[in-house]
Amino acid sequence: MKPWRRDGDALVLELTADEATMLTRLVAQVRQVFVAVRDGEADRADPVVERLFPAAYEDEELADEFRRLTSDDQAALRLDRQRAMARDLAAHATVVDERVRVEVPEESADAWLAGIGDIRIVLHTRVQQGPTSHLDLTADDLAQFQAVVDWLGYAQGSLVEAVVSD
Amino acid sequence: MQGTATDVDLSVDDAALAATDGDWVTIVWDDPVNLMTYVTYVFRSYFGFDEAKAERLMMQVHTKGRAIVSAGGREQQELHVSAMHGYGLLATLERVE
Repeated sequence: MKPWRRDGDALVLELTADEATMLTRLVAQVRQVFVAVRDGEADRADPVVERLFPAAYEDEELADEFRRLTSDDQAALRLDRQRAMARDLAAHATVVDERVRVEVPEESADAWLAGIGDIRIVLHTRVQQGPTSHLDLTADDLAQFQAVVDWLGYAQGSLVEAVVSD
Repeated sequence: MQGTATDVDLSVDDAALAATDGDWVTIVWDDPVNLMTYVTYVFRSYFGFDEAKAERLMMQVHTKGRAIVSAGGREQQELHVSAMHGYGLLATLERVE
């Protein structure tokens, strides 16, 4: 990955083909989480769902009520962001040496920043849970997740820099 | 938060912000995954804070574990909390005693 940079009205990210494939796959997986929440099919006790939809009130009843009233819109908003990422990733033009150039219009930068953040949160939460048999995640899987969290942190950080440097 | 702490003025504390009008406040809590620069970006872009204020509040979250980022009516603070959740930040609202 080369850090994000501005190119006219767009923000540009250069990835290797493998990185682009991995990011596309992650976006698709995180989309599924938001689809499940939107459709009322998510496991509310899943630490990932709890972290993505945290308590708004200390009082449990108020927090539940708040979730009940807001989680549909909340999931739809965050689903849209993952969709915007998927769209920009799919529209990429392959450049020399198997490198992929992803071009993001300025108005989608916010979606990318928050969308990368959501992917980091999902992976980070799984790492925090530790190896689990029911999710079939080994210590090696989680070490890989952590590496991706760090890699996405670099991507998000350089996008913040590119966005604020106008 | 992840990142390197820089030297910023932390002199504005919770009490100063909480003393504004309205009886509810939006609190953002520290978390171990969000980048410091991202949190500052969210405060700037969502609340429209200038860079100094956004950075000061971000540092307050980072060093003290929480910061009050807004005060006012309950419905408005609920919108802010919801927006913060949308950005992946941990946020709650509380009534000011």
